[in-house]
Amino acid sequence: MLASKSLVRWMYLPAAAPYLFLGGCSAVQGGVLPALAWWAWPLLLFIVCFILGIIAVPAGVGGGVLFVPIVGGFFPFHLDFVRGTGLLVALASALAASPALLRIGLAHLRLALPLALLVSVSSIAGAYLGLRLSEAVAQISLGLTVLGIVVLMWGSRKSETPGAAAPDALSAALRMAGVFHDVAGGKDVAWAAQRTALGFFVFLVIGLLAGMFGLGAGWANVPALNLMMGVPLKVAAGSSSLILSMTSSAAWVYINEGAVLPIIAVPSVIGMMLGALIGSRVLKVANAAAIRRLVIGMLLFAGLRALLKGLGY
Amino acid sequence: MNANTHEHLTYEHLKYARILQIGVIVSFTLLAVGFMIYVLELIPAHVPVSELPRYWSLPVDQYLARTGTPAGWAWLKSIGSADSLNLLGICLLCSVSGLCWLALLPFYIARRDLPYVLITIANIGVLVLAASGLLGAGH
Repeated sequence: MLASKSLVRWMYLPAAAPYLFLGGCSAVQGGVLPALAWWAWPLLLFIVCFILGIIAVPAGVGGGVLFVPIVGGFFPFHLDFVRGTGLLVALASALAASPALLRIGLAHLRLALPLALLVSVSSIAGAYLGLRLSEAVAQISLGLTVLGIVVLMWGSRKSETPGAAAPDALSAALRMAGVFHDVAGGKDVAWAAQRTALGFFVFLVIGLLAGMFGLGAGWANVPALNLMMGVPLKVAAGSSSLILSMTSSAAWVYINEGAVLPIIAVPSVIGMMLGALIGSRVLKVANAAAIRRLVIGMLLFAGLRALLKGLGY
Repeated sequence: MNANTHEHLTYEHLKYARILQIGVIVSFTLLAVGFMIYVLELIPAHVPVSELPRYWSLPVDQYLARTGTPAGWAWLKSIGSADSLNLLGICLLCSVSGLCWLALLPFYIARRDLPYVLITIANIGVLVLAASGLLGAGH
């Protein structure tokens, strides 16, 4: 009986979505508990994450960096739960993409394994640190970090094939090198990781921020691999996804601390995954530069909102 | 087509990809089924879904205190409840890479690739340590 009543409630969900979006935002912005049924929130979360998933893939960013500032700013959930879910969203997207990337040679295991280890260690520290911050400090720090990402995305160049410079001693010892077949150019491109020690340090910092704010790390992995370590752009993007898929340690911290609520996490993960499937098709036809500008605009808005929320406005 | 020209890398990548894909499919299936059971209230939950809006805006320590929800692995004791069932799917999702590393390790050992044997063991160790909750809690 109880189950049949629940089933009937869920059948109304698609029709209720537009109302929920408008009503939900105004209620949250008013700073009071919204007078919406409990089931409206996971539905709204699913819809928002589905849209974010469609946008994230052509924009070349992971789901977590969009999820945390937007859901943290406009939904009634405490930031502790939003950050825990943000890591799961980033992890799930990367896990789903990685098998295909490995099979076509765009994700490189020897490159990813050492970097994933560094990101895992520092993201654990970041997660513990993040869970000890007061909400105001966490929102201000998140806002500043997201605004920093906006600057990084706006200003970063891309180098499709940075060139086959000789590997440094560390990357030679770890054999962090390969041959990438450039389908567009119809040629094999040899590459080797460069400035590896500096790259290792940068990945430690990326992991710390990712764990602290639940942002994932795709926003920083690709520029670090491509521009700093000299990895071809497509291999950098594929290996970034593989690194993300290997770094669930911070998510475990949030799980163990009780900061993962299935009612928030599961619709977010599933919505983002389904959206990303559509997004990968959109990628073939969409104007990627326009979508990237849209994402920068969304992050700017969400970052400012987090900053203002933390400052008490 | 695989871009790597080294045969051993191809094998390494394909093996990893195969295990990862199976783990992802199982995890997502468990998540989706568990969530439907949870929201349709087919079995009882430790915190009923209809009561969650009263608590989800609280910091995690207050949420745990007010709902009487245990932190760490204590949720396993109530695996029959709908919310714990969902955590099982989430935990599996977070463990998939560890299973891939375990499968990769004999390959690196057989090749006497000492740096990657150590790196793979370290990755497994960090994951197990993080999952264990031994690193200390406290909010």
